[in-house]
Amino acid sequence: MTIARELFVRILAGAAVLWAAASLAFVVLQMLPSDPVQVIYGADSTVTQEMRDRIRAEYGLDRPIWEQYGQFVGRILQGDLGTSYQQRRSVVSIIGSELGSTVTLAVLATIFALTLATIASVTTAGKQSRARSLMSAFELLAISTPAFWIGLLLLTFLSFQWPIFPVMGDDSWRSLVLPVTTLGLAIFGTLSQVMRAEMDIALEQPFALTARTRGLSEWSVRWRHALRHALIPGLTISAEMFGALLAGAIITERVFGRPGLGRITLQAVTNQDIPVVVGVVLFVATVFVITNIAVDLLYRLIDPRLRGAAA
Amino acid sequence: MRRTIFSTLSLALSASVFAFGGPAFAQSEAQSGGVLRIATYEPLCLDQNEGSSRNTQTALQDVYDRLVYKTQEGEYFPWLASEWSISEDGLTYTFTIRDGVVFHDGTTLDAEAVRINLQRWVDDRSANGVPVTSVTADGNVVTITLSEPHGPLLHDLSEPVQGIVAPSSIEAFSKEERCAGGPDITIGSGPFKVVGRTQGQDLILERFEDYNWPSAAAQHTGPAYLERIEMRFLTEDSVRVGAVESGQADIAAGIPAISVAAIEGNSNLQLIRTEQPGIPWSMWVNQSKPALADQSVREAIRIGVDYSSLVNAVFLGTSSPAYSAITPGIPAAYDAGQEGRWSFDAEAAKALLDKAGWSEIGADGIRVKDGERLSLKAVTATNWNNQQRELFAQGIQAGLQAIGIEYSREVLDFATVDARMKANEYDLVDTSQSSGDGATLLFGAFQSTSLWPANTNWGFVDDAALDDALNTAVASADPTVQNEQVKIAQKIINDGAYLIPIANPQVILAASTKVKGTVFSSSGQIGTFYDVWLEQ
Repeated sequence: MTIARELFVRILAGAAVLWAAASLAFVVLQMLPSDPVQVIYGADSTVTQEMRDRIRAEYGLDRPIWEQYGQFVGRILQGDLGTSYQQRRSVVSIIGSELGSTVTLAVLATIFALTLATIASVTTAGKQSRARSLMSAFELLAISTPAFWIGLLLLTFLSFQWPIFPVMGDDSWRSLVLPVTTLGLAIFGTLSQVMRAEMDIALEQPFALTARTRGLSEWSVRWRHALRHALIPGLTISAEMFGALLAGAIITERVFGRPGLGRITLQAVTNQDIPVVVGVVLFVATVFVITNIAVDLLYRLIDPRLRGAAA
Repeated sequence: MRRTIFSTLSLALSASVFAFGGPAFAQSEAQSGGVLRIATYEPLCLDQNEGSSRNTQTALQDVYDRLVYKTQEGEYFPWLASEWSISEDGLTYTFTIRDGVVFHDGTTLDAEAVRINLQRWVDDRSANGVPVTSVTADGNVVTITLSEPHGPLLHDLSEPVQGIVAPSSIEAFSKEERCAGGPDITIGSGPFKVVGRTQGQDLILERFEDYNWPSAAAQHTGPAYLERIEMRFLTEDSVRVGAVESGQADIAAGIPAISVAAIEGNSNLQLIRTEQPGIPWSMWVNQSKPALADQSVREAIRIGVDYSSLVNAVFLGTSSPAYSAITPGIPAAYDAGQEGRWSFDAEAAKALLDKAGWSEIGADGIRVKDGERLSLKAVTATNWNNQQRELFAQGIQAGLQAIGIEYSREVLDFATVDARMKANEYDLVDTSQSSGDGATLLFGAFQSTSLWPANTNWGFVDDAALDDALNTAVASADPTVQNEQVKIAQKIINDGAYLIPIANPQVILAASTKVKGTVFSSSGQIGTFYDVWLEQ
């Protein structure tokens, strides 16, 4: 199979996944016992019947269910995700305006976590040492501490106790340090453990021995050869990482009062703002599908053994 | 013959010093300038007409002016309307709009601009059920005509949600753009204008230098004292508290009970608190259920749990035990005579239940009658709930268990609660309601035709005498008559045990001691930042 053809198949499969996700979301929402009109007006108790009817018509809620499904799918195909019940804005513009903030946070947190995990695995792989036990303990601590708690601890000491990083206002990079650290620590532990385990294996491989006999220093072996092997499983769990990032972003954005997709998702779920929930689900599914395809292609770049191999 | 409510500006100004419950200070003392940083909740939508949430109103009440101002004591003062009158039959309201008012974008605020706003309220929101037949503007006079008298109209017009938006903004921007809001979109005539807006993060207001039309209740004239107001939206209680404790915020809203002691003990901080106007946190009792149709059972629930001790233990002094359907936060309508009408008496509660035929006790300690267990399902919505109420409900459960009643409480999202209510699948609903108008509140919660989903009569209360009092209250435009009837209603509600009031919530803010001149309005929020100043 050529790369182009494989890509085409993968994209088709991805489209099917998205359609399934959208339909599933639609079905689940039909099963909810709630009346969207009540959601739109919240607990505002003076909703007259004519207002109800007008809202139902405005949102197409008075049409038969198949027609609603048809319109729903049709609109999605045109890139229209509907209008938020709560904010009265189009879902596309809500996601658009919140996306940048979350991407900034997630990318910086990933860089932070990857850097930390790389250093941790390269320096402590392949031998039992005090440093390794310490690092393992730290990883376990990072994995098992809720992001919520990490965020509050960081704020308590580095903002409230010693005013190093502000929680109010928007001081560009200084406002980013604590949220990025919080989210980065949330994914660092898993990443570091996987990379170190993989490096342990790589350092036992014949190629490592060969490299050493060629007179390469231990550091070169680790940085230039073993690290490549450690990056592959890092990629493999990147999908899982993506999920962890999104979940972490919800918490981090809430604690630090930052704009972003996480905050929007939480708000939408709490308020049953259905169009926004569906919009976020579809958006995340899309990113997920694209990530998976990209990762498969990246494997070939990182691992020469896969190049040209029949899939 | 028309009754005219008229007060000249100078009279009102001199009177306001006495009428105002806020900290009075000499004019000369107030300092101008400075930035006020507030840690608070985020409004969902910056268009008043669309986003009616309390958060929206609190954030925007200094961006938009209203026709009249209502103090927490329930007195009305001229604002954009220099005078107003109500016809004898209560069907015609005329407002004279003051001259010289401009919006932040320089356009004129005249009677026509007010009419456009009121018409939008009628068209988009069906005037929230107020029976408006027409809104007209003629010269500098706006006239609202009703099909039947509606006493609370003046109160409604004093609410922040009735702030007057610049027609230029209504014309130029879509609903969506106005909801997102921002500089040059969110335009009012208030003492502060919007200069910055980041969704999910902040809202920045700046002093409107041309401002010179405060309400007659205000402490000064001319532009506001503060140069800027920066609202930072922080959802987490502990983070808002930390922000104000570390001096990064000057005011933090929504202070949890647990933090009150620490703030009181901090010499740099002050607690600003007031009784929340409205219906206390209470249990609506569903009388359409056979067990609860019996007044003895309702009374047993009312005296069978030691609510007042629980209030003190759980709310740590941030709420007081409630004995009426109205909180002390509406002083003019609150009937203090209801206080202490009942007290905890488990034995008397058991006797009431025995008398009502629930004398048989099953193996699990729950009373049984005709094979039915006395089991009550309470529902509440996530946004009506908080940690303290959650904890308190465990106390209710234990208390009711001790007298042989099974109690379980579900906290659900509002839409699910709504569905439950429509299906009449609940025995109790617990929530509090916040508003400065007692007549509208009680009418909505107890008038026999105000059933869900049109209103909040979740108890299916149907009492001719109560209806009579509430109908009279809502139809009268005279505050004295309204308050009198609302007091009668409170007594009837207690006589019949139609509601089990639990706690009067307080609105609690923490502020730096540098913050001066805060005053609460009838909505139970800081009424305006116009008179607020910072000690430099």
